[in-house]
Amino acid sequence: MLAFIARRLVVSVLVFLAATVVVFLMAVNVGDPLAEARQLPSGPAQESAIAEITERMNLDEPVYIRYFLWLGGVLTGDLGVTATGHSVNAMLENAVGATLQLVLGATVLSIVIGISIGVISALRQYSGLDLSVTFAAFLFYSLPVFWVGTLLKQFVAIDLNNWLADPTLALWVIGLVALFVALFCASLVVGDRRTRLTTFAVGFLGMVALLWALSETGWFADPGLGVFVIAVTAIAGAVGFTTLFSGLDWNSPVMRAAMTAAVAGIVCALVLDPVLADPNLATIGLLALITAAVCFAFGWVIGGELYRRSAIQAAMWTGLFTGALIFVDRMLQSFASYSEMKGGRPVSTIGAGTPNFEGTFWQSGLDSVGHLALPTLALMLISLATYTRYTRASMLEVMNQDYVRTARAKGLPERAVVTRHSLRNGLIPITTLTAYDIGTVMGGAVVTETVFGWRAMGRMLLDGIQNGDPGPIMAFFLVAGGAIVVFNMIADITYGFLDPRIRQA
Amino acid sequence: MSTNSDPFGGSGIGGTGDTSTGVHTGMTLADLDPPLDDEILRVENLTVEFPTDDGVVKAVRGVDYTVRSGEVLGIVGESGSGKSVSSMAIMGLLPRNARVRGRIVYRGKDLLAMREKERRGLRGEKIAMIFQDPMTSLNPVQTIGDQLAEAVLSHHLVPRKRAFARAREMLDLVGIPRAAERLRSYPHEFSGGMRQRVMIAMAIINDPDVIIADEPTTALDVTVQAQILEKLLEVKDAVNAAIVMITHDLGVIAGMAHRVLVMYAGRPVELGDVDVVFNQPRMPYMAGLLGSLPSLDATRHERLRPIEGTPPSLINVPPGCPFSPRCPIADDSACLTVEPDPAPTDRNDHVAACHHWGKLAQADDPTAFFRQESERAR
Amino acid sequence: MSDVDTTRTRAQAATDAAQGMGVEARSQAQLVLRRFLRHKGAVAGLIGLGAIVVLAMSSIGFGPIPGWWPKDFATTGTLVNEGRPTLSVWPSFLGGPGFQIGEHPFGQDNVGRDYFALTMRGAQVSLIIAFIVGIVATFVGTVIGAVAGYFRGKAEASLMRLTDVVITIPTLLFAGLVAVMWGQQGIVVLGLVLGLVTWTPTARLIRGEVLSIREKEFVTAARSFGASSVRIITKHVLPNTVGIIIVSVTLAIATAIILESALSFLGLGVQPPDTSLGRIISDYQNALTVRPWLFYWPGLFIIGIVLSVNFIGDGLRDAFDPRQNRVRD
Repeated sequence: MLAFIARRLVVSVLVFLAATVVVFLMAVNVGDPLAEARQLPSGPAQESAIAEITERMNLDEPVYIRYFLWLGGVLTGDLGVTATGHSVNAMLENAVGATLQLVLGATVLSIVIGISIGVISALRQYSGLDLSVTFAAFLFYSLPVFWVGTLLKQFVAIDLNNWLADPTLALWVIGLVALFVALFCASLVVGDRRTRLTTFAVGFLGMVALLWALSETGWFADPGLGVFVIAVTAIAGAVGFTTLFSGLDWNSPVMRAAMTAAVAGIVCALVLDPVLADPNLATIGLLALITAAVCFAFGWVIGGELYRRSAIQAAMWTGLFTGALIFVDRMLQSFASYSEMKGGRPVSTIGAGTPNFEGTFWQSGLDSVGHLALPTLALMLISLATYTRYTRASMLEVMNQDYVRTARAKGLPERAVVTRHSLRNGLIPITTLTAYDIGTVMGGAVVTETVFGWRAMGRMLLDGIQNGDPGPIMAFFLVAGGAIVVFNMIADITYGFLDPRIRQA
Repeated sequence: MSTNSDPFGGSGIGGTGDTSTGVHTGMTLADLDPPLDDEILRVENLTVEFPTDDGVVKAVRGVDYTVRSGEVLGIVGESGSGKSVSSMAIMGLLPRNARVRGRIVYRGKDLLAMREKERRGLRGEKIAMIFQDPMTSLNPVQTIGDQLAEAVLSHHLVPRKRAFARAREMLDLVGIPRAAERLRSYPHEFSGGMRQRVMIAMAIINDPDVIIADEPTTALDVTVQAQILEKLLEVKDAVNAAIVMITHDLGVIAGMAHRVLVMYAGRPVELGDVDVVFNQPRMPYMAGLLGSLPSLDATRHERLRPIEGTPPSLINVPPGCPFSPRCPIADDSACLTVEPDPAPTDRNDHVAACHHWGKLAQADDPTAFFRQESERAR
Repeated sequence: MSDVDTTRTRAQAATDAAQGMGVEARSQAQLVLRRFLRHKGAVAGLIGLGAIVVLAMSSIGFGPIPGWWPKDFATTGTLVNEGRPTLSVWPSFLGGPGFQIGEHPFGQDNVGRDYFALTMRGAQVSLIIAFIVGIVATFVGTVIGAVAGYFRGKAEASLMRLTDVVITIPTLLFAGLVAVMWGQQGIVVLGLVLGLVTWTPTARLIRGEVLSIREKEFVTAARSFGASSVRIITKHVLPNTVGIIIVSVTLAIATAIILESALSFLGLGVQPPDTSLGRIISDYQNALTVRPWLFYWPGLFIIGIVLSVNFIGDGLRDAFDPRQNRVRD
């Protein structure tokens, strides 16, 4: 495995070097960096301007010398200067954070949501849900990012902000949302027509009541979950994860382990209140690690010899789920104060963050979310559709395999057949897709940033291309191409990890 | 018919699976170890239909048989005869759109009337299955040990260690060397024959009453076939299970089955003790199958006698006997209009679905009908 | 009879025997057609794409051929009713004005240009570029993929490394650079250069397929009869990848429309005075609040084209590779 990784690493570095040569050759030919200087009235001023730029960009050297000068600079951490003499390092430092946040956020969300929807869609093949998901995937796949981005910016952001001034829902909105939720629930349950109708009715009425209550109490202006809702949801989560990992059984040690994890999580949320008032990222990470470790111990002890594996899984998932609930609750509770700081218009349409923003951890978090939500949504659509379609196809293929039939013939419950046999095999080809997709998302980010007026890597690249300036173009490529190479590596390693045939080759 | 020496040596184990050795009627298991009359699985009027874009495929059209404790029942037929579909129906592994009717009675309980949960409890525990292609039947990303132990753990509440110990025991039993070590191996590290041994180990790991083996040796080399069949019979005795052996290989049936069920176009057409069916077939299809086999002691000038034509479509099954278009003794009356039901013949415990089984009973060599047919054609 | 001819016949016979082709070849095509026509989305896509192509090509004319639409896309004019679209499909029995096309069905832009003619011109350009990209990308990808898949060793290694290098460069960056360098010389050249940077998915698909086909018995048979590599690739290997190639064309076309419109939106693609759907959206994106129709029409046409092409591709894939419909004994 190590040799496999090392070999891949060497090849990737060589391929990446070759790609820098290709991009460099194009970048130095894409335009004339002297164009502006040439427009000056001829005379000594023009000559000195031309000479200065020539000197700065080594334009009198042959291209291959310039490449090696650039490469030498990169290896010592110096990305060179632009035609106007600005440091590319400084430009990149300002730009890279926002872009990577956008790209990674969109990628991770697309992978998680896309794979989940794809799996569900495959498990309910030819159901109403499956057909709608397939059609939606086609539609998303066909949408131009800039068109969707502009629509989101103009309507969602502005209309949402207007609505938040008086956040009540019209009855028809409540009805429509409830209808969709109920249809979704009904298509998830297995069973005859009556079970489905019951699910639909319960889902619809429950949703209508919930939305009406939220709307009437002005919850949307000052949201939050509260201890009671967190507790109920955490316990529901415990039941859900237990069912997923070992089947629904109220008295099994697995259920007890998951319940313990949920209850411990709720108690901790109350005890840790002062710590959670204004934490930092490290604290949150540490808490997550502690949660995982403690839940692992719960599972180990409570599960005993017979149920250890599923108890650990159920307890850890329940614990992290409860943690996430508490996290979201804190974030929501800060919404009212954040909204006030932003003058009642929390959803932003311009830029990657409010300049010079000062606030608690939660308020800064909301500021990022407020700025990132719409661009991420626009950027996600295509990737989401891709992941959904590929996952669905891959799962359908795997579920027809002989070894899945073997698993059923052993007498495994369908739940275990899917989680233990279909899922892992079905996800193997998806790893390769992530490597492919990241390049598309990087390109999409350039377009999205343009739509939302970010001054990030997209702007840097476009300015570079328009001014015939290789420095920023190459800086963009170092990050974007680097991301592609890194994702390829991760995909290869994950592939090897998931598939013993590759690992041992 | 050939009566040459018996390569199985009357040991009651094995079968070369090689049809070139001919069909044997010497000493077989059936003679040594007569089946006991305690029924363990009964299939009654089983039908399976699949709705497709082109119409309803009637894959199985009324199958009846019983399996007795400890016996080997062979089911033969060409592809599309419904032999695999009917056994998948017993396992409950057919695709969701399949329409299954009839009764499948295991120890007095009808499987088709059971709830899925109850049925799952029997699957792999009391009724186990071995599949045709060992290369694709094991999960490539899980160790052999995990996959074997999983079979135990899905029916028994025991610690993982116990399940792995049982898995090791089973690998020993099916003749895989260094079993403890091999538990940590992945399927791709095994040869085809070894994988089929693993599948056998998986099938017997819970001491089942019935093992359904669906062409377990078709995908293997000839020499490995013999080893696998031998191992199958050995472990059957070790766990005292009955075997339903599905195959198109008459040599395998002759070598190891007590009784044989012949299927054609989704129907059972002949059922009886293996030596009766092989020596005195009362259904022309079986006679034709026997005649189409090459045999070592045949004279050089004797040609093979294939059955001409192909089986009927299962979407629009024509009226009359489905075999009549290919049958040398079919006449114009009943054969073309009335589909014969399996009925008792002149032999003991033997049924055949033919209006004219009497003609076969009178002939010295029932396969001769096909010879005349092909010679007339020429 | 020369030796070559005998070889050909025998290799062909081996192929036919191995695949059961020959007589069944025609029925295979019929089968594919039948499966394609059963795919409702694909048929709808085919009709949709056909309608858009016919509308775009015939309405304002193409090159020297005049069209039936009286206005052209460059002439400015006076604004009628603030340039609102006159197209109506609201039937009169529901209280609407009934179906009518009117003077400016898609409205007018801020200087009074007929927006229907402008959108049609944009659609023409986008479609032409997309088809050129589709053909170029598929051709390059097929050649590289087939050669890499068929010949092992150095040829495969170097071609696959070449593919890796291209994949390492984000498509938008690569396309943007070549479009600025060469694409200003007109839409045909732009299509060609975009095709030269978008062939990698096709190459990988074809290579994978060729890798498995080259191990099949009929290829071994042809090789044992001494057929040349070129001959084996063109006569035995590629015909068996037709399905994948055709599906690749649709994928490449769909990608190309989106890519071209994104480039034009960023100002790197089609340059004025010519226009394309992406360019139009870019030009009028700030009009969304005041003249929303300037934003919707070109967007709807992009979505219509890409959605149709994707559905056609999906139908073709199902038709060529109907594995999911398999029912086993």
